[in-house]
Amino acid sequence: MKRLRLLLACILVVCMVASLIVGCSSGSKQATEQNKNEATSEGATSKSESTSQEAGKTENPTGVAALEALLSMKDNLSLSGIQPLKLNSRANIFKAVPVKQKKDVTIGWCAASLGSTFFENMIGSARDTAKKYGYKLLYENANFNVQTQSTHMETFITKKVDVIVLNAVHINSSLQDIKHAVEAGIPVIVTGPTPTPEDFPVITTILSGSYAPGFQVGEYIAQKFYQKGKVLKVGVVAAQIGMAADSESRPCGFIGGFLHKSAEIAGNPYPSKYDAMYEGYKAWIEFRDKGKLDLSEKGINLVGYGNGGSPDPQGGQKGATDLLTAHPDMDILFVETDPMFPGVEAEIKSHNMVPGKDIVVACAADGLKAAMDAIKQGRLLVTGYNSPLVNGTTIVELIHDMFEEGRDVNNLVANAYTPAQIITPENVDQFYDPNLDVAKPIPFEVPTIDEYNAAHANEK
Amino acid sequence: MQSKTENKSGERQKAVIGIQNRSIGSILMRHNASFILIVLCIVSTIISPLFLTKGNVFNLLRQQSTYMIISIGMLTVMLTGGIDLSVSSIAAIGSIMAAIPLKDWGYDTGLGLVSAIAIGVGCCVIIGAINGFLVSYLNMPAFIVTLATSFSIQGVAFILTNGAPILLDFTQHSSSIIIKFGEACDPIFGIPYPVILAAVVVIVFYFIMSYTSFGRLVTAIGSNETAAYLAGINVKRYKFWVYVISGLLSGIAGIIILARAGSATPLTTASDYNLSSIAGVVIGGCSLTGGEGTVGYTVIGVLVIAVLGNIMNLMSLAVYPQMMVKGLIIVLAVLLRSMTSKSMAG
Repeated sequence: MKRLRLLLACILVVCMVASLIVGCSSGSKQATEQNKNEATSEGATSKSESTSQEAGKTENPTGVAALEALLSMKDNLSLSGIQPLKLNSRANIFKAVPVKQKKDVTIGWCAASLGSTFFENMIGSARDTAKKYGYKLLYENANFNVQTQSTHMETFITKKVDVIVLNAVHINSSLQDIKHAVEAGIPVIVTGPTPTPEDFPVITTILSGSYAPGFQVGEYIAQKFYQKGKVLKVGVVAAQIGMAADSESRPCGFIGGFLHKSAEIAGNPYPSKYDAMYEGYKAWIEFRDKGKLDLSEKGINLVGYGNGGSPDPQGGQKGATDLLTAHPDMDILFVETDPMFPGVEAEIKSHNMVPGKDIVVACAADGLKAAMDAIKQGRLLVTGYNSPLVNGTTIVELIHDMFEEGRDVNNLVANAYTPAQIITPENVDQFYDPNLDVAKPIPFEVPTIDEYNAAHANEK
Repeated sequence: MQSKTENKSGERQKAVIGIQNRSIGSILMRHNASFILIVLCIVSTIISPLFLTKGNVFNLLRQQSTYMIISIGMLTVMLTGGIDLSVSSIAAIGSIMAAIPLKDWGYDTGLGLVSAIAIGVGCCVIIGAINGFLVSYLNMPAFIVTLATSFSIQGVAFILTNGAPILLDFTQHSSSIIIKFGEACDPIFGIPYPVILAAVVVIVFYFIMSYTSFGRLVTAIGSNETAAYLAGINVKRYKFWVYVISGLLSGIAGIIILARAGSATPLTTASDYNLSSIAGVVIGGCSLTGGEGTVGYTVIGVLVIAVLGNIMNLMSLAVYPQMMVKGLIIVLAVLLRSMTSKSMAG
């Protein structure tokens, strides 16, 4: 009897703690939502300050106000790659430029990890480009450890390298090290994986946005399959929903893109694409928190998602298996990234289905050769372009421009996103090279803030 | 000399105690893992009609085949009071070292496939032997040794693969056989082949641990290592062999991983086999200090975690609540386990 009472007491304590945690987390979320409506977004211009105040007052902001509302969201893991239309100048932030012109440049590369095709190819392309110019490239791998990376930064500062390239484990934790480097006269270029705050003293950040390719995939799917009156059943397989920006931004973008294009096809377009993005964001948050979301009135029923744990074939298998069991009648299976596709495909076959025939599979990254082969064979419909060769090459070319061409890099955008494109059966040959593991690189130049603002001046 | 009255009251006491040990409460406490699994299955069937379908059950078992095999290896280690935190890494190396010959060395025949599997599993056995040697003969703490081994193997896995997954070529004969093994089912009952392999492992180890001196002595060492040593048992040898067994079974799991996914990736080193297998073994009644635990209940413990995850996925439960519920149920199961141990000891 005594033991039974003890047991019941323990269960009660555990339940109370659990409900406390759940209650607190939902309460703080509500407070955050209220706060975000009152806060001014980062990097907003004076014009958009008034619109963001309007956004705070209206429940469904529209146009630029919708964009500003998105930029002011605290829960922004699913908005990776979204930027304001106009950026503030960064010219007054000291970044250890201009640099002394020289030919024998030494680059110190602080890698967050070298444990994936993406990172290996990025540093490989950087190494090749450095070799072309006769530069020395020293690199260290932090293995996702912030302290280790800090040590590497200090080492490169001590060695007095000419420039540091930082692939940050956690960018906010690297601020002091960046400042030390700049104070020592060493400029810093960041290469993702997350955006850098605009006031950080870095030359620029070169990274791939996750939202934009997801948006384009959503538009493509709507273009191909949306019909008025018909509801598409869609499932999502991602690696780390709730924890990784890529895992949230790509499906969030997908929903936004689908809503945008389907409304256009239905003859009831949104006032701007930012309205669709805003609605897509709200839908994603609800889908993420509830596990499913029926938007039949918009032509899409998000039946569920599977969290694979890792962006590889096994993660794809783990994420897809129960989802396929629960919803074998899905029309579309959206997979976060194409390294997961082989596992997803294996599970589809285990469920006696044929990918491409019984179920359509769409990915939002990375454009690996295996994925492009699958597109050519009709097993995969679409994937997003995310070539690491662009990152590595662009960075070293920028360094070359700085040290040998005298380029003024004092006012480059804080975050330069590589071109967002999707690879489809119609254009796969443009990206395909049998000698490469990834998609062919598209040349890309980092814009100045003036160039960026001019390019977005007419957007609304 | 005891009086007859005292004898009778003693017998009455024993009879009362006997009745207490057979009460429903004590039975439930003793077999709490089975009870939890039955309750979960009933609740799952009520919540989702898909749960008890053939497709879902076989998919669930197919997913759990690797966890089951690794958990059996973990059980043998934990019975001696040890632990093996390198199982995920060893499984990764097993899959990678089997994939490399198939993909890069041209092992394209049936014999080539067997050789590739032997290489993969062999490497895992060697790693298990290293663990066993360091723990048993050099008396190093198992926690530290296996953690260190895990880190080292992670590095090796990334070096071997350059960080990228090794995808098997479906058009190659040997690769197609192993992929078919991962995907296909037996023609009579439709049971997936990985599940059959896991069942064979479970049955073999059930007999080893229950009916052989090896099994009994491994448990005895965990119960009281000093007493076992004084009784003349070669404690070091048995402790060495349990780590070899853990390595072997992790290697077999690695082959299944390769077969199912058609690829080998270094990211397997970071997967949840370590904690999931420990949780399954503990839920199944194995003591963390050793000396207690059975193969049958380990299977039940693994299935408890599996059913839990499965039903939450079938319900399309969001990711945050899933993590909370899983943790809660595991805490509850372990709490019941520790209370059972105390009551049995009392």
